[in-house]
Amino acid sequence: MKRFLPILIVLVVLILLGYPLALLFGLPLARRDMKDLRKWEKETISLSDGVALAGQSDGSNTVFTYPRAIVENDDSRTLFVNDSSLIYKAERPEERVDGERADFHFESDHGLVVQDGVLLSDGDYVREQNLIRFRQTPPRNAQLRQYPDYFVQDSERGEVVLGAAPETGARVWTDSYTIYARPACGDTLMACFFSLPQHPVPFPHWIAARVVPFFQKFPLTDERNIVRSTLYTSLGTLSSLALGGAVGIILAVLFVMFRPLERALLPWTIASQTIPIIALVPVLLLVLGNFGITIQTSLLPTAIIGAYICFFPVVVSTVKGLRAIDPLILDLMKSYAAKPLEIFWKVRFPAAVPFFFTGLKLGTAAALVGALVAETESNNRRGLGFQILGQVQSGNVADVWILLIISGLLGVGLVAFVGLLQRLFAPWERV
Amino acid sequence: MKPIWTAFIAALVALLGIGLGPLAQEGSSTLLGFFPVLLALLCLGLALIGKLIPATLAVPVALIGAYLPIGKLSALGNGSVAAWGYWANFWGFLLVAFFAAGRVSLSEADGNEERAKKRLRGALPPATVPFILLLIWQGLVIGFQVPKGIFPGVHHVYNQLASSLGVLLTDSYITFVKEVQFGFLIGVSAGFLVGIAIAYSRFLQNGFLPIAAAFGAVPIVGLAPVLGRAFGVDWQSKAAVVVIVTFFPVVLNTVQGLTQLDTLKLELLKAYAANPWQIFLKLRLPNALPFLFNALKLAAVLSVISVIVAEFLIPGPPRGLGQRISLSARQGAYDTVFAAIFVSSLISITIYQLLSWLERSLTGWHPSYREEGH
Repeated sequence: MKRFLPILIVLVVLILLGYPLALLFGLPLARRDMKDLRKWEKETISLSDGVALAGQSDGSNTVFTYPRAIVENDDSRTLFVNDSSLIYKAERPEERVDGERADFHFESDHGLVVQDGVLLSDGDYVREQNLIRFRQTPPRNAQLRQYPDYFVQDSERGEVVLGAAPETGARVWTDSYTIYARPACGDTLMACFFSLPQHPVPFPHWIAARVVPFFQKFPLTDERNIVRSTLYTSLGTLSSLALGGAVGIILAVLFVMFRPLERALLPWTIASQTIPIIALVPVLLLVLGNFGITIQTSLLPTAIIGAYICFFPVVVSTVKGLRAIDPLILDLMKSYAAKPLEIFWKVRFPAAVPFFFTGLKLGTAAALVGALVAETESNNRRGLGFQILGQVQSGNVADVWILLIISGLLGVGLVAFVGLLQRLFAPWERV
Repeated sequence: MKPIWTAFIAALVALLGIGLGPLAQEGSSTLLGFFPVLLALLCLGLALIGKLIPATLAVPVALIGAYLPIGKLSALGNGSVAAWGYWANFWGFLLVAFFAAGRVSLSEADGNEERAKKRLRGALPPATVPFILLLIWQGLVIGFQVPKGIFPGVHHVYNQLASSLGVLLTDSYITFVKEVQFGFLIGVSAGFLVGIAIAYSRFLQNGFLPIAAAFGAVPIVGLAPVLGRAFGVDWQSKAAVVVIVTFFPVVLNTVQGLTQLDTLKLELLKAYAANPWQIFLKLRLPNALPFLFNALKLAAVLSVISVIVAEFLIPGPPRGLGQRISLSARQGAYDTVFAAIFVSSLISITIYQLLSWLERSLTGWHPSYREEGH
């Protein structure tokens, strides 16, 4: 009990740390949602009397401002100069903007010319009726528009520019316009936080609440059932451990028996670990597919990838074990006239067994990662890797966390299992 | 081990002997048919002298000898008797090359040998291996006429590498300079600091270490999609993966290095009335350095693998080596895949060697090196 108390306390602290972490990651997203006008609720204001826009009608001013931020594309918005109504309409050029042409025809023979949302001044183009000659050729796919009556220059400030300056003392007014009323997610930051569709780090109790429904989502007969996926992935990892262990032992024995082989190959086994083998998964899948193996249902890709990852620590520590022999024992065997093969079987091999398992333990976690990636890349629906990918794609972050915890426990369990094997096969050595 | 080598040679000559008949049958002159066999025997002879220089000469000759039949194989197609001859030729020369390289490492040293010779003896056998592997690759692809879309030949990869080097270097810049370097620096320094904190607290050692060790078994790359949501799909999320992956090994090794002290030295320092700061600086930190470098090497390898997986799992803007590999594989452009793998391996091997060199120059006093020197 005394041994587990600190672990328990640290675990609880880590779980509690989930709350500030959830806020740390969630609040910036919530703030973004709150600031983003596109995610605000809209509301149309209709006035029976009409309200004047801010801005002086002095015969030259063309900039007027609505009382609040306005929605740019809004059919219900009205704008009057005295009694004449101005229409919000954007005209496209009749020609394609190909980056070479500088002359464009528009529908009307008057209006404001806008390039990529920026209002051009009279000096930037020459107007001949409805033909606009740009002084500078607009780049390819530039957005050219002509607004005959007026143009919303800044929707957040409610600023519009009129095509023609109203005469002195004219009344510029509106009786209907749509505003950004309030953030759709809520009025406060916390409200926005709670209404986030996907939290990068959910509150720990939300994850806990998902556990039971998550396990019950599919019946045991369905291959997507989580217990079955976990078993499948552990089977894949174990087979990769078996394969990697076998390869590792063979290589280690060869290395110890033939020195030149070790000198030639050992540097490359180290280098092989720096090669991102995971990157080879697509190629491996293709090759296996060509050999007629349906990669979507086969354990083979998992086994091969995992084996490649876990053979290296096995080789290194098995070689160490085969070499780390007490010279006294060797002398004794020689004085009994033991043959080299006998020495190998009776002395070296038993001495290497615990080392072999230590290496295998080191490789287990990496083999599990390899198995998960191989499953995702091969679209193998039966494993945990595919489950993780599926939950990520459907946005169930809490479920992703549950799957991560499960795969973490699986990793710990597999290491413990290898440790158990070690006790079974090498009971004389308590490592 | 001598009988094994002789058996080896016998098998080899037998292989070449099979090659002999079909070569004569093909209609070429007898002398030409014999030429490869003679060449192989020459190499074997050079290797069997047992001296360094002849054996060294035998290696490249044998490699060229293995390269020559590849061209013939592509013209012949499979199944014909002559093709079998060339196959025997090909494998025979590869075995000869491997054997010669082995002889180089076994060749007897003179009493006082120059350093260059010693280096050659150490470096030649491992240097031969990639050539042999490349020849096997090329031989299999060309001999079995595997189409480029299924498995590219070495020359396809080379061409692709040459033509898209600029793109690949840009990708490597994103992957290594932005993602790996940034994440590695943060992860390692955080891990080191936390490791120091844990080393000085018995409670944390009891409580945190087992959990940190368990984290080693958690497939942290599974977190990648979650981090992608938190940090955006650009390089920041991948750097975050690297931070987490590098953190735990560094913590574990730092704690081990700082706490697994020689009690004699500790008592000596205490007898000199050294304060804790001095003990840290003069005993604990130097003691932790070898552990730390082990962790750094492990973390470097892990971070490259994880960043590529993270790029697989967080499809962001199409930049970075992992993205390139994943996209090219989906389009069936396997020559690009191999070119990208080659570049990333080259860079990560360089990083690994750099760290090893740094380790040797900083911790050269450590017993593990002293033993090797003798």
